[in-house]
Amino acid sequence: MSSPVLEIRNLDVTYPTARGPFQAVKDVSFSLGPGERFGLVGESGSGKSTTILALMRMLRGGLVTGGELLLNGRDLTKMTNAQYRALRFAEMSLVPQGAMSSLNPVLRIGRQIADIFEDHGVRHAPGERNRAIGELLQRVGLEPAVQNRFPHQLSGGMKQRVCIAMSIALRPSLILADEPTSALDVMVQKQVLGTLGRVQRELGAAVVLIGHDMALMAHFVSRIGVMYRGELVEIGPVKKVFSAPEHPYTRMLIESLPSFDRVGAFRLAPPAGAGGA
Amino acid sequence: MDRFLFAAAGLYRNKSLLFGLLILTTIVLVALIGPLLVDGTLSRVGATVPRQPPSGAHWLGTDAQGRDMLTVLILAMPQTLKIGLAAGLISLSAGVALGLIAGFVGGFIDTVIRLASDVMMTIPGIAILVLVASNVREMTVELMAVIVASLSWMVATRTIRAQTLSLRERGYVQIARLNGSTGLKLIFVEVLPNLLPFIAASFVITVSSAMLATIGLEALGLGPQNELTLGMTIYWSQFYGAIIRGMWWWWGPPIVAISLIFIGLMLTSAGMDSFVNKRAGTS
Amino acid sequence: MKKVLEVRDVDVVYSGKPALRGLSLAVGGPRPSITAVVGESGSGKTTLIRLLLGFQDPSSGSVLYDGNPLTSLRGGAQRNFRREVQAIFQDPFDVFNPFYRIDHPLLTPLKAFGLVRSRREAYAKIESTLTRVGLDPAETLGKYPHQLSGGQRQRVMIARALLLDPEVILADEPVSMVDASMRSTILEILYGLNRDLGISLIYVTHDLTTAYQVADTIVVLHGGQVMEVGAAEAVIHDPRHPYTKALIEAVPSPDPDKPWNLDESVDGPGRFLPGDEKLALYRTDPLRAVAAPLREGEEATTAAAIQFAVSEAKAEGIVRSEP
Repeated sequence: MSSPVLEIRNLDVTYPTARGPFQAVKDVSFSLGPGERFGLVGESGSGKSTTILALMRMLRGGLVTGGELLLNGRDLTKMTNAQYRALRFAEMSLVPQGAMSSLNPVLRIGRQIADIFEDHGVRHAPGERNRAIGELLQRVGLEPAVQNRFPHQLSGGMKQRVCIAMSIALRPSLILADEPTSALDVMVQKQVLGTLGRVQRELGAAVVLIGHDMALMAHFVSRIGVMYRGELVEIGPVKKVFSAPEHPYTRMLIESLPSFDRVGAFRLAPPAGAGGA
Repeated sequence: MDRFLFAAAGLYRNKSLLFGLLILTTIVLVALIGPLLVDGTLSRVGATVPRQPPSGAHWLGTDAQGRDMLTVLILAMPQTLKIGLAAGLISLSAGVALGLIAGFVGGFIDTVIRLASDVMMTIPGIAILVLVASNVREMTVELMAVIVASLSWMVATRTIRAQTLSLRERGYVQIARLNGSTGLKLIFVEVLPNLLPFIAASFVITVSSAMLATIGLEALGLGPQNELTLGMTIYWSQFYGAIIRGMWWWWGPPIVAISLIFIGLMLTSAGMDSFVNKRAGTS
Repeated sequence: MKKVLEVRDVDVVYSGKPALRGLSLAVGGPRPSITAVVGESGSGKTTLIRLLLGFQDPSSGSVLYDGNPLTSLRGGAQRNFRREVQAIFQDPFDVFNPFYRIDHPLLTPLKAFGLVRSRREAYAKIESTLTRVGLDPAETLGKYPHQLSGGQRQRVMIARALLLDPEVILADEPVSMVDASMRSTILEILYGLNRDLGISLIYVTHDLTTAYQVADTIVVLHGGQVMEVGAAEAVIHDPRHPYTKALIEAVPSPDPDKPWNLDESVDGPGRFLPGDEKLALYRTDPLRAVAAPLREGEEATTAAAIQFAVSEAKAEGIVRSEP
C-alpha cells in the first residue's frame, strides 16, 4: 500500500475560554490514502470543523495542544506560517462552507483565481492566463466567461463551483470540503457534489468531506468517521458502518435518517384518542 | 447577578473602555466634589494679587484679574460638563425617538426624518452656532446646551433608525407579534432593550460632539460671558494675552482638563464600539 | 366547528417579479390535517407563510380566516385570528429575545390574550405545556436562551404556540436548523399536535423526506406556482410532474447500496421553471392534481380542493393505512 497523503495522529485542539480551557478535539486519529474519499460526520459542536480548521491552520483562538498532522509525510505542526502559505492550494486546499462569504465581493472571479496563481509564483505567458482560468472553470461545468463576473452575479451553486475550481487550481493532493453543499437546494447540492467528485477523480486527489448528512456521505465517500463531542467514536468503510454500526451514537444517526422507504416510527403508534378526529 | 459578572469580566478584557470610564469617573468626581472644597470668592475678579505664578498659596497661580486659577478650574469643570451632558441628553432623546419612529413606522414619515437628518448632517454646525450665538442677547449654560443639541441629534437618529430596521425583522419581534404584542409594547419591551448598547454608544458620541461645539464657541468668545466654563477660561486667557506674557498657568490647565475629558470620551467610545459590535455579532 | 385559513387566488409581486402566482391553498376545517408545502429557495414558501400570518398583503387575491379577509378583521375577530393562527420558525436562536429569560415569550401571550387570571395559573399552564413537548420545566424556566440547545429552544417555541390553544400552526422549516438527532422528536411532536389535539398544520420545508414523514398532503411549490399536489404517499412514490420527480431523485437515500447516480450530469432546477404561459392545476385522479398549461374549456382545480379531498379521505381511512 502506498504511503498516506494525510495522517492525523492523536490530535488535540483546545480553546481557552473564560471558564477554563475547552477541549474541542480529543485524541483524533485517521489517515487517507491517495485519491481516497473520506467523510467526517457529526452534529454541530462535534469537533469536525475544528479538526479541518486545525489542518488548515485557520483556527480562531483555538490551539493544537497535541498530536501530529502529517501531509505527504511532513509534519504540519512544525511548519512556519510562510511555509503554510505556500502549502495552501498547492498541496492542500479548502472548499469552504459558505461560498457567499469566502469570495471577495468586489473582485471579478477571474481576478480571484489569478491571485492564487500569482501568490504561488505560477507564471503564464500573456493571454495564456485567461485561457487557463477559462479551462479551470470549464472543468467544474461553468462557462469560461464566468471569470468576467462578480460573485453577486452568480447563483449559490455556481459560487460553490467557483470555490471548487479555486481549490483545484494548483492540483493539490488533498481537498478538504467543509459542508460544501449545506446551504444549497437538493438539486443544486447533487450537482455540486457531482462536480466535486468528478474533478477529484480526474485529479487523483484525496478528499475529506465534512458534513452532518449521513445519507449524503453514504453516496460520496468510501470510508467514514463519526465524531461526537470532540472524539472520533467510529471509523470504517461506509457499507460496514451503515450495516453494522458499533457506536450507539452512529446507530442513532443512521436510524434518525428520514427515508422514503419508511414513515416515521411515530406514525405507527396507535392514536391517543383512538379513531382520530 | 450572572449578567453583572459577565459585564465585569467583559470590562476587564476591554482595556480601552476600562480606562476611558476611569478617566471620566475621576473628572466627574472632581467636578462634583471639588466645588464643595474650594472658596468660591477666590474666583471673583480682584480676589487676589494678579499675575502670580503657581505657588504654595495659589497652586495654579492667578490670572490678570486676580482670580485664583485652581478655584476657577474647579468651578468651570462642572459647568462645561453640564452643557455637554445636557446637550447630549437632549439630542439623544430626540435622536432615539426619531430613530425608533422612522425605523418602525416607515413610509412617508421615515422619508421625512431621514431627509431632515441627512440635510442637517451636511450643514456646517459651527457656522449656525456662531450665527445664533452672536445674535442672542445673553448666553446662558442652558441655552447653550439647547443650541448645541439642535445640531447634534442626527448621529443618534441614524444609528437607532438603522438598528431598528434590522431588529424589527428579527425572529423575536415576529414572535412577539404572534404573542399579541403591538405598537408601543413591541418597541419598548422587545426592541428598546436590545438597543441599549447602541444608545449608550451614541450618547458618548453625542456628548463629545456637543462639548466640542460648546468649547469651540466659547473659545471664540460666544459663550456665556458671566459664567465660568473651561472654554471661557481659554477665551479670557487669550483676550488678556496670556500666551505672549508667558502666563502658561492660565491657558495650560484648562487645555489639559479639556484634553483629559476628550481622551476619556474617546477611549470609552472606542471601547464601546468593540463591545457593541461583538454583541451584535453573537447575540 | 374548526375554522379555515386560506389564500384564494393570490398573486404576490415584488418590484415587478412574481413571488407567488394564482395560489389557492387552505388549512384547517372540520378535518384537521397536515399539509407539507415543499419548495426550494425562491419557490415562494416564505412569502406564503408571511401572507398566512397577515404579516404581508397579497398583490391580488385574498387571505381569508373563517371566511373573512384578514384585512377586514377588527377587534375581537382580529384578536382571535392572532391567537388561533400560530407559527414556529426556522431559526431557533433568532426567535428568542437575548435580553429576556425563556419565561418571557411564554408569559407574554398568556397575559396579552387574558388567558390566565394569575401568575400562578400562568406558570401551571406553562409547566404542563412544556412537559407536553418533552421538556423539564424545572430545567427550562428561568434560563436564558443561550443556555439551551437548538432542539430545546425549538420545543419551547412549540410550547409557546400551544399555550395559545391554536386552530392552525404554520411551521416554517422547524427542523432544518436542529441537529439530526432532535429532528424526529420534533416531527413527532408536530405530528402529535394534529393527531391528539386536532390542530391543523402547514409544514413548510425544502426537505421532501421529512415532509413525507409527517404530512397527509404534499404541495410542491416551484417558482411561485403549485406543480403538483396530492396525498403524501402517492406524490412521493408515484410523482407525476417532472419537477417532483427530479426533486425526489436528488434526495440521497440513507441506504448506501441504493444508487444515487451522482456522476450523472444533472441540470439545475431552473429548467422546470414555468414560463410566462398560464398554468392551471388539473386533477389526474381524485386525490391528485398536476400543473399543466391552461386548457380552454377544461375544469381546473386548486390545491385547496385536493387538500380537503385528502383530509376527507384520511378521516374515512382511505389513504395512508399504515402497514
